[in-house]
Amino acid sequence: MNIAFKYFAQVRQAAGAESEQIELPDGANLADALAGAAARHGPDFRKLVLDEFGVVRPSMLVLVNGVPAARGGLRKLAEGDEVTLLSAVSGG
Amino acid sequence: MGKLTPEERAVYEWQMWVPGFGEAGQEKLKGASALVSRCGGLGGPLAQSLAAAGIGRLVIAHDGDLKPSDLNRQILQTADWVGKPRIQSIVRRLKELNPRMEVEGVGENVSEENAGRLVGEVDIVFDCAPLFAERFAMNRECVRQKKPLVEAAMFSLEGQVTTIIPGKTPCLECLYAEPPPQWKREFPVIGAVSALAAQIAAMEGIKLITGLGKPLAGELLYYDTASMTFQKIPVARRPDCPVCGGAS
Ligand SMILES: [Zn+2]
Repeated sequence: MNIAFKYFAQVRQAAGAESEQIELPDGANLADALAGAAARHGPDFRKLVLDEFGVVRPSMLVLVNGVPAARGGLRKLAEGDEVTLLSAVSGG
Repeated sequence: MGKLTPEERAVYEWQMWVPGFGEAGQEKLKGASALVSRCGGLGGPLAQSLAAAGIGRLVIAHDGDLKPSDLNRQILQTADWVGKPRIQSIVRRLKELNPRMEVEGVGENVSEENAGRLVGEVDIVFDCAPLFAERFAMNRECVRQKKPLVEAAMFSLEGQVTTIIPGKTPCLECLYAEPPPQWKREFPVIGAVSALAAQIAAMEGIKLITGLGKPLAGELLYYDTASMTFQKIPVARRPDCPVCGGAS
């Protein structure tokens, strides 16, 4: 299935892109999807979005089709879903 | 809410022409108090705009002595003040702009220990702190005391602003529950980028106080000055949020 990704803040820097489409196996959940994106973008991206157990980090705001997803990344995705990733910043 | 003096009417004449603002809006600002947590590249221009707009009382929390590397963005400081307490310069410069305003300078940063007292003193809070620990402490206290909290933050060429109304909108921990891995105290910053977040946050506060417009409640404004992209991202409360989950 085809999933659209939109990146903001540090995730955008780590991905080197504002948005992209990634083909994922049917039945993939959010954590699988982020692991799929991390496979493209390397260890810095992976470290930012997933912890060492492959769980979505609580420092990430993850929206699916504009709605914040429950923490952890177990939410199942469907063809055409749009995943928005935003990382916390605190600069003043 | 204080009636305006003839001097105040003269100073605020042009902003009272804003439709929906008027003398009633100015009186609400005069009667309002705000806490600005950290008054550097973000809190500095924010406090300056609130002072210029005629807010009645500001409480400013900011620790430390001025360093040369502050001067690219901390516009309430002056070049001759390096090595001296930042808070003194902040209070002096704000009073120069608006001598009618009451300013309480607190030479501490917000912590678990002082957040309750500081939040208790004011009607609205502006969070401009560079450390997540300060932001999370402030968020918890604002939710507990049901005080509106304008969250403004930046990094490099980007910024994020949202307005938290406890019981109605998501709180900071609904959005982010911990700092990103390897977050550092120092961050890349151009003063204009943090001042932009500051002005957006100042307008959020002025709107909340006067009833003007529609605040960024349940929305996070994200901007990227590299491409001059401004985007509103919807945000929702988490029923399982450890801070605001049960609040109404
Ligand atoms: Zn919450």
